[in-house]
Amino acid sequence: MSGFGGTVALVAAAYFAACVGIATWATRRTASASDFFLAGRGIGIWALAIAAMASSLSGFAFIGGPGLVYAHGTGAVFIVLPAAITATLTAWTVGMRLRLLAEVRGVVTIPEAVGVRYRSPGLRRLAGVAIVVASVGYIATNFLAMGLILEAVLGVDRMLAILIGAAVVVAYSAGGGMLAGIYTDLFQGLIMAVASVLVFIAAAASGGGLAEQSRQILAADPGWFGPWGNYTPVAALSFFFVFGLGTLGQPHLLHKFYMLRDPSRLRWYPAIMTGAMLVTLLLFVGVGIAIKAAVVRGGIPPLARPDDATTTFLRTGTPVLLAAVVMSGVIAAIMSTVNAFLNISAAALTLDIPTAPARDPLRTGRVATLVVALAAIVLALGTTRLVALLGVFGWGLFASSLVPALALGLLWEGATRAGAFASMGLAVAGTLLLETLAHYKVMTLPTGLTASGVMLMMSLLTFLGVSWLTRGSAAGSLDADVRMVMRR
Amino acid sequence: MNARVLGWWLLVSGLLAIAGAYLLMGGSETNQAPAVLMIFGVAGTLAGPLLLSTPGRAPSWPLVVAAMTVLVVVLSGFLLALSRPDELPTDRLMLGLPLRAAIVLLGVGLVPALVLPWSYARAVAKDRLDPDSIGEFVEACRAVRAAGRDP
Repeated sequence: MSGFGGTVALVAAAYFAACVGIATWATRRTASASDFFLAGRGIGIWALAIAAMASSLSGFAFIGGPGLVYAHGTGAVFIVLPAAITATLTAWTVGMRLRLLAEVRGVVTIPEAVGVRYRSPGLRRLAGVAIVVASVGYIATNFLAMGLILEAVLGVDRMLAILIGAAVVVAYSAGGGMLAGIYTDLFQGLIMAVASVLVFIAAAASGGGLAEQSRQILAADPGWFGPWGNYTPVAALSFFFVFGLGTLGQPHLLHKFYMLRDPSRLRWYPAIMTGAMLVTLLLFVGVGIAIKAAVVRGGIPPLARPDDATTTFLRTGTPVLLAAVVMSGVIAAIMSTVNAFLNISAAALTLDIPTAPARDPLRTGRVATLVVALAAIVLALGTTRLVALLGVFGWGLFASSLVPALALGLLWEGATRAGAFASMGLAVAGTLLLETLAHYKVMTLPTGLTASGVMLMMSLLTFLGVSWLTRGSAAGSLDADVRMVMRR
Repeated sequence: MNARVLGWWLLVSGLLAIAGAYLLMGGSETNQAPAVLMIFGVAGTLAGPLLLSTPGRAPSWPLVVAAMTVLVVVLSGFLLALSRPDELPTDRLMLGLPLRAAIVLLGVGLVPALVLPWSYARAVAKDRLDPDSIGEFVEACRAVRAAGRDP
């Protein structure tokens, strides 16, 4: 193992040990299903917001994102550009309502909120199935990414690397549930933020500074630094639509609102979450620009794979110790996302999909966590083709199935059960069909048109249209106490 | 037009504009209609739900400020970026970035972050969210549900 690899391995080992320590502490404090699924509804606003940031930014923000910026320029930043808006949008539209639903009805999961909103166990079950299917894909994709990174850092076989990373995150997820998840997310989020700021400073100072980097890129590839980069305007703006409005349907973020100890503290959620997101995304933009400038001025050869942008910058532009901290930050980002999805899918399997309540929800939740993790490991080890398909499927399915039925449903008393069923059914079937046809190249979408964008737009219009057509049944889809929560 | 009607109008017309942009894309590269429709669509679909987020009562002024900030910044920022000519390496930079990239990254990407969290904190500060008020609210909800009547 080289000096670089050795230092990174040591820091990664220390990081894993810290996660295990937090998880052990949390496991001892997890005594009930409420502790396991909702961290005992006792989380403070700082921990909540930073954990939300950590779980929303997967390894993509540190590896795939800078690679996309390097390859496509400004247009790739549209994936994270709505971050200045989404935390406030989420808090204002659904955050407080979900927290109050938890008080009024004891709601524990996101599918349960959908079921309560429309007085429909069937809708709850459908939302639960959508969450489990999409989560397994998400988790498998992240296991695979973690395996690739640990393979590079530790020099071990990829299969063993996947199993090492999965074992750590599954152990604390199954043992300490959401309590372990929140506090490891907090720790991981702080590492991610610090690593991002330090790398951004190094990136902005490289190659003669940001202005000089801009001039070098403008001279060699002016389109890269146009407002849409190498994408078409519609393609870049489609990212903005899906990752902006689509945030309102991400269950791993929404679920965290149930856990807040004091609802009055929610007023600080947008400020903390937005600040944490913007700071942590500095690396996403800074490394992409710095590596592109280094390539166009001939400082380094063009990258064989865009995904190598961050590791190339770390090896060539930062001290070894900082590189080691950043690689731990990448692993942290992946683990926090995996943990969040393990928890929400275990909750769906335990509480939402079964027709009868579990006798021992805590034990069932732990078993469900293991089942989901095993399914994801099998997928990650088996076929990368299917994993990639499910990874893409995940975000789009969450957005198109939950933004209309849950987010708009909590804002509009005229929404109906039929509208929610139609939009959610269309979202599940349509997203799966379009992504599958596009992935296997049976059908090619025009450049810039994404299945997730089309399905989000179509499911929203379907929800509005069907609810309007069946508006006579709106009152029957809404209990009086839920109406009070919506109007609060 | 009250704020809630405006919210519905922005959301529905925004979605239809996005549908139009998707249908029209793939034509001539000089045709900017899909891009303009998409810009209106993303602005409307983000600002609209904000204005709809207080069912049963009029939006507070911080909420209106937040929604208008989203609408104006997204709409004007992207339209300005779309309308400006390509930059040359010798052109003046803004905070180290070419002008159009700066409009997108620093304008659309940062300006809402200066206004929206502050607006939300102002609006929520007036809500009664202390434990006693929440307890009363929960009891009222339970009573209404038990009686099977609307609030």
